[in-house]
Amino acid sequence: MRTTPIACAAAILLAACDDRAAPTPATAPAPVAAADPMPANVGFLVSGDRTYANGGMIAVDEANARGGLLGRSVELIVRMGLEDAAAAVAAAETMILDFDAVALIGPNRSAHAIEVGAVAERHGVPMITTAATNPGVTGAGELVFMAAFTDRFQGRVMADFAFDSLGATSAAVLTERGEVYSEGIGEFFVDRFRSLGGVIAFDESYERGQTDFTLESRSMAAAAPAVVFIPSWEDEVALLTEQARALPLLDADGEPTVFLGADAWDNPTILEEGIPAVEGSFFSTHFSPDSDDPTARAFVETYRARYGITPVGGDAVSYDAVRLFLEAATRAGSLDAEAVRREILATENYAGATHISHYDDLRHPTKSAVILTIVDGMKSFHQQVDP
Amino acid sequence: MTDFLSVLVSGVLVGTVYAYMAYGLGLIYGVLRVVNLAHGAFLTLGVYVTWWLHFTFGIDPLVSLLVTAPLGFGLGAAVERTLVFRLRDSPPVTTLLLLFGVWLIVRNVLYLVFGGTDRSLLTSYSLESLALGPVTLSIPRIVVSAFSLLGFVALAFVLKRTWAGLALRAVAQDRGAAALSGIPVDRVWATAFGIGSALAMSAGTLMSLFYSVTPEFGARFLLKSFCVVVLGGLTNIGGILVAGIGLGVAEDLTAFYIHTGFRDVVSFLVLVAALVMRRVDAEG
Repeated sequence: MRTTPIACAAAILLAACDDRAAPTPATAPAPVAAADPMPANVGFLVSGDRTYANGGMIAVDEANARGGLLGRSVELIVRMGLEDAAAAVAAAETMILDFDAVALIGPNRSAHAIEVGAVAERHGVPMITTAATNPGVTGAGELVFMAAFTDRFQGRVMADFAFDSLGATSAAVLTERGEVYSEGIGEFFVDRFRSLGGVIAFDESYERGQTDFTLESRSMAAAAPAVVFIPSWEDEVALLTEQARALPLLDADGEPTVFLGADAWDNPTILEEGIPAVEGSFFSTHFSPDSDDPTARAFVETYRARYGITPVGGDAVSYDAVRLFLEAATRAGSLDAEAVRREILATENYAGATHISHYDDLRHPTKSAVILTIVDGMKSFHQQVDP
Repeated sequence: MTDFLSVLVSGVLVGTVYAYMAYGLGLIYGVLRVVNLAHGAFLTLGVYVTWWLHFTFGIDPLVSLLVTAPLGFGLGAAVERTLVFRLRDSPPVTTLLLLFGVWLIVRNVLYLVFGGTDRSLLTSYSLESLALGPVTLSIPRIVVSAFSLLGFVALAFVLKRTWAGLALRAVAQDRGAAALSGIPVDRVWATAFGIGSALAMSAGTLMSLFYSVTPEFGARFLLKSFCVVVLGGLTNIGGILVAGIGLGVAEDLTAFYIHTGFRDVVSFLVLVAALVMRRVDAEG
């Protein structure tokens, strides 16, 4: 009989464990109220601590300098620092219901964008995500579009690069457990790498916020992969790569294993913190600030002049997402959601900070990716990969 | 062989923390006959107080022990005095649900205040490692293990060599006889709950050095605590230490040789197997 309280406690505990996504309040600053009484408000959602609203602001200011949108000034209603999907959904609802947002731009994290897409659909508001790359983002409905390439393409790009350009025949993959972006692109990479004839020597995951990667590093080192693909964010990338290098992490020939990343690596933190372990790494992203393309150059110069820093890929697709909406609404001659949706879908040969050839039936853009490398603590353009 | 040794020693180090974390649960059950589901709340509070002190004032987590241990004692004693004490003659499940409610309240307050984002706590020695021959060990694991063992020694001293420890053991053995001997049982209950909670909060502090800071922290590690006390004996300090180390080693070996995703499965399996296959010896 003495087991009863323990058994009862264990049962309650087991039931309580599946509650990771408990709701949390939105902690981001309140949206900025519009000064113009009749502006066309465009909601802009930023997950985490990113600069992406800067890109959106440039697009809005360019539109206003040209006379606005259908005779109305355009106002960007920005909500930054969204920590989770619940906060993103709450912010999206506020933008639509309290600010009469005519479109939603963002958010940049796929896990948040998937939830916000349902809000946009429910309220009949067009939505274009920024740096969200999971193909499931547009699954909410016909009004949801992406400005960034999908992880299906990005995973393929990095698997091809590892196998063909680096000559890697064995790879390790480490993703963030339960994170749709990280796990999604990891699966696409694994599928493609295997289809090319490569061997996935290690395919595991870690918990977000984890700081001790010694066990994962040791397991990876035992597998001796030629490359390690880590589609994760800067904090974990820094810790993981440093701990793995310290073992050391070598391939079967005794050469240092090459780290590969994805567009989440494209932020200043990894470089600003001077992490030596990522030296010589490669990652895919949306654009290169070193691009010679005239429209990309114009964006980079405007951005630098205005903010004093160099834009990253997320800034570029944020600029593009706002422009895509504004141009589609202008072509439609109306803010009617269905009319705007048709025009976004009809987009062809868009040239902005990045280029979009066209949209497919799933509302995913067909566009190029670039691969950057980290040399002497600086990221530099390595190659462009076209679809 | 080198990998096996490294993983083995690493498992031993983390296992001592598991034991330290679990002992408070066993102590409270031994003295009060209460399964303290609020143990998860105190673990989580320990993690968050440590993270907040580090984030706000730059205080090292190990220094934070000076805050979290006394705070845990105070909060635990207060919970016992204000809530548990009132239900002392109720069926066990009533207290169980009450303390489960305490845990839920704490968890949701943490969600409200800090949000649901997982956070990391990094110190100057977070990435340091020590090479002992072919074996490479993480410095945070060594430090945390050393502090846990120190805590065990201090606790064993209190229980064996002090009047308070004698009173705790007496109440654990026979509450009625202890009361007849003049031991203030009510105060001993509050003390036991306070010590158990202090152990939980300080364990949270130590574990913040290598686990993510999240409101769900308690859910994950309360289960491991149950696993350790069920295996080791509810009040048997030596048994709990051995069980904690055994669990730590089993988890790390599983993670290394099978898959890191199966690490937490080990404690689930062990707990279920232990509950099914053996009679729990509540007396340790």
